Amino acid sequence: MKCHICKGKGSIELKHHNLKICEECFLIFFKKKVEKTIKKLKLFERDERLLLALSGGKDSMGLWHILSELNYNVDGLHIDMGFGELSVKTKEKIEELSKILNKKLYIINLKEEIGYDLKELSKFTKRVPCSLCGLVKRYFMNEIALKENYSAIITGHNLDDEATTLLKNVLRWELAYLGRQTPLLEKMDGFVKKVKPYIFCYEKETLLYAIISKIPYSKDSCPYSLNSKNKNLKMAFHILEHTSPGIKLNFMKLFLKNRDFFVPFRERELKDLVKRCIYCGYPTDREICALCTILERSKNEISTGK
Amino acid sequence: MVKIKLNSKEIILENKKSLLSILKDLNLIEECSIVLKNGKILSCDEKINEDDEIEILTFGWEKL
Repeated sequence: MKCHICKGKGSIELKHHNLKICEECFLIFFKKKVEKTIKKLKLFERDERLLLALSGGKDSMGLWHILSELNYNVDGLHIDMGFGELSVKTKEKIEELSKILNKKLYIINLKEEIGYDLKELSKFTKRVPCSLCGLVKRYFMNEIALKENYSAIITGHNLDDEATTLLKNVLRWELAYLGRQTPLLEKMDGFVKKVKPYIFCYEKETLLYAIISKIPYSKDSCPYSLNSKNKNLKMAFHILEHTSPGIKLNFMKLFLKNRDFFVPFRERELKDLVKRCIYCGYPTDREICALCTILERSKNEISTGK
Repeated sequence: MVKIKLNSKEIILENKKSLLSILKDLNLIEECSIVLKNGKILSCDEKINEDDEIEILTFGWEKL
C-alpha cells in the first residue's frame, strides 16, 4: 500500500476520506483536520484561555496534545468520580501528560466536594450513574471555568460519539435535544461556551493519533459503560460505515447544515432557565438546581439519621 | 500459530497470515479496530509471521 501523500509505504486506510496514508503523514493530516474544524466552525481563537475536560482516555488526552502542538492556550480539568484503583491509574496518566505538555491541571475529587463518590451518589439518589456523571461533570466544568476565567470548555467528543447521540435523538424525536446538539454552544448568562473540536474526527482517527504520537492515556473503560445503550447504536453505525464509508460523517454534516430547524425547540426550553439556584447561583428552572437538590436531600437524611 | 493480544486478553489463532483474515476470524471489522504489528500500524497487504507481536485494539464492538 502506497501513501497517497509522500508516496512512501502506507499502512493506514481511511475509507471515509478515500485515503491511504503512512503514520507520519497521518499525524500532519489529522492536525490539519482538527485546526480546519476549529477555524471553519469558529470554535475559539489562539488568544483565548481554554479549559479541556479530561477523562484520561485517548480522545481528551490526544486533543490536549494536538491543541498544545497547535499553540492554543489550553489547560486541563479532571473530575475524579471515585472508581478506586482505576481512578488512581487514570490520574497518573493525566498528570504525566500535564508534565510533558507543561500545562496547568485542575483535579476535582467528587467525594471531597460533595461527600459521595459516583457509586454512592447513584445508590443514594436511585438514579443511574451515567445521568449523574453528566450532571456532576457539567456543573464542575462550568464552575471551574467561570471561577478561573476561562472563555471556553473543550470536550473530546468524537464523531462516533456525536453521531451516536444524534441517531439516538432522532430515533426518539427528542426535538429540544436536537436543537441543543452542536459543536459550539455559545456562552450564556452563567454558562461558559462549550466546544467540540473532534466533531468531524472518527474514533479510529483519534485512537490512531494517540497511538502513533505515543500519548499516555488510560485504556480502561468506565465501569458503567458496559451497560450503556449507546454501545449498540455505535455498533450499528460501524456496520453501516463498513458498507457505506463516510455515512457517519455525512449524517453529522447534513444535520449541522439543517440544525436551525430544531433550534426553536431548544429556545422554548431555555426560556425556563431564568432563575438562579438560591444556594450556588447556577442557572436553573427551579429555586434550587439539580445538584444542590441532591446535596440538600443528603444533608437532611444525615441530620435525621436515615 | 499467531499470538494476539486482543485489548487486554491473550488469544492464539492458527494459520492467520493477514489483517483481514484475523479480523474475519474474530468477527471484527476495520471500522472498529486497529491492529498493531510490533508496535506499528499493520496495513491490509502486510504478511504476519509467527514471531510477530500482534495487538488489536477495538472500540464500540465489545459485545461481540
